Amino acid sequence: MMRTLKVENGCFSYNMTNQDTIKNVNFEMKSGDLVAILGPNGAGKTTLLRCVIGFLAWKSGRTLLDSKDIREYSARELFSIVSYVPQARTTVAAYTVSEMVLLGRSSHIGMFSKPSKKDYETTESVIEELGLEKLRNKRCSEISGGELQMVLIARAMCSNPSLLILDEPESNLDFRNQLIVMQTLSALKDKGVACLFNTHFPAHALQYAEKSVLLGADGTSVFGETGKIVSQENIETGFGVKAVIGNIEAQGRTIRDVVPLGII
Amino acid sequence: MYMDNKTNRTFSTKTIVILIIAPVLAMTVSLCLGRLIIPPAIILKSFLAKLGLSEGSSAQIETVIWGIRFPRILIAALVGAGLSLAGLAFQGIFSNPLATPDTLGVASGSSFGAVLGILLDFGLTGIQLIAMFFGLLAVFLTWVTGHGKNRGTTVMVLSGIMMGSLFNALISLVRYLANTETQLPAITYWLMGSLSGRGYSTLAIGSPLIITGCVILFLLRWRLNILPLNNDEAKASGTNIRALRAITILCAVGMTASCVSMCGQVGWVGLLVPHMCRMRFGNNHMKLVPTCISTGMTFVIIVDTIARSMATTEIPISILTAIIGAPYFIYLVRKNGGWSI
Repeated sequence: MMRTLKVENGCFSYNMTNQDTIKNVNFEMKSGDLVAILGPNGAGKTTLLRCVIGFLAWKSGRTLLDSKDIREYSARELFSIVSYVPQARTTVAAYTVSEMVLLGRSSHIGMFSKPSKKDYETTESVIEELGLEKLRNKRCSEISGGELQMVLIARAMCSNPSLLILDEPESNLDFRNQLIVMQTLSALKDKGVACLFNTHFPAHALQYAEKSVLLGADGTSVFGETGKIVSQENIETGFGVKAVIGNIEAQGRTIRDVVPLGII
Repeated sequence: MYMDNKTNRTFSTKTIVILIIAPVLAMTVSLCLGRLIIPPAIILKSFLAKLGLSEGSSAQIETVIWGIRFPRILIAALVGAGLSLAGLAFQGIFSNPLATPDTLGVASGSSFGAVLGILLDFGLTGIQLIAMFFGLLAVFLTWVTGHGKNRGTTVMVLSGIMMGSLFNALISLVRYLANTETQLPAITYWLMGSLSGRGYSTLAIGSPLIITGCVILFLLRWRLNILPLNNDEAKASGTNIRALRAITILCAVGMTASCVSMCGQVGWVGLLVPHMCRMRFGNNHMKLVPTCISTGMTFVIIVDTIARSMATTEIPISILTAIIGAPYFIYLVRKNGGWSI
């Protein structure tokens, strides 16, 4: 089923008297889209994600899921369509990996019910799909950051979401784990899942996301095709950095990359 | 520790049998022991007599078994299950392995309420309600002062200790004001925590809240796994997280207040039993809830049996739970480092 997510004139401030942290953000996406949110530290990327999903209330503006305001959905309805993947370092609960992934089924399980056989089967198939079989009985407090990130993605996938929202899924990871995470997102996109993620790396947006939102330090934002959004001028104004964007030819492919040159 | 997926998700038959047998066995042994040692055969005979299948023993033995020991053992079982589950629930709600009725000040708050009830000559029901009210107040104050974005687990416990000492001061005030002839001895002995002389009337008043709390938390046992997650993750599970927290905290405080009003402050159980269970069964509440009920029952029955049969005069149970609990807990933590939840 084709789903759409649209943010209309979203404004947010932590303090009603202060200037808005996020000013009038607009973007939209649909099933099979991979959209990146870019911006310097402190621009409010995580805040924006939290507003989009309703963890924080917009000061004005709204988020529409399938043309319906997300505030009109019940928590259970909303989170059986949308899944959220937090930053990997914020979780503390020392469940085993399979217990943790199973928690992703909660929006499909009644308040006073236990998981059914089907819930365990879904969990198992997601664990196999993402290659986490060896971690199954390890505690989440004892695995590496890259492994934990994959576990959190698995947990989110467990509810068969149409829309996946990820908070800096690759920011604390090494090259190999970055590739694993980004390729997993691409694979999900190809299966028709809409993925919205924020990232510190404009290159990841260029390489994987068709569309991007660039959030400036002053709270303004631009939205459009990543090729147009991630431009040398925008990087300069958004990040305060002089950068060069170019192509690298390797293995018969052309890979777009961004290299920062110096501080302005 | 885990053999394969199947044992990982549910208990093995062997574990279920042990979880049921352990409290029953402890009850039976406890019925035999005391100043008057009664052989198991007579207990069995007397039990069959209750069912009308056999002739009873002498009136004296019948009284000891059914009038004195049996209600007391049931109370010990309830207190064990209640305090253990309350500790488990608090640890989940506050995502804090150190959270217990004692460390959050709930036990002190409830005790103050109960002592105030005694001072004002309330009945047992009134004492329980006022104990629950002050227990809730204590946990609320602890939460308000101790929670915050960048505060670690210890801050919550520190503010809990502050609330505890505040309520302990208020308890001292009540004792100061109490009638030295009639009320003060009752308050003092009761505060020490004892199951001595508690009968069916205490049981009838204390059991409903504890049993209700156990049943609700048992039904919620899988959902309780959501509690230790951070706020965003908990919301993203599609759970009504406010309702879940409210239900859990009401159950935990209700059970603590009932335990306190039946037998005073029996410390350590809410910290010791959940962690013993975590070390063996992991942190999945689906397993922890039943194991905490069974282990808590067994533990308090054993300790109370020792309290009443070790010396000629009875030792208050709270002294024993601390003497047994503290070193054993330190041993467990040093061995397994089981501080996570």
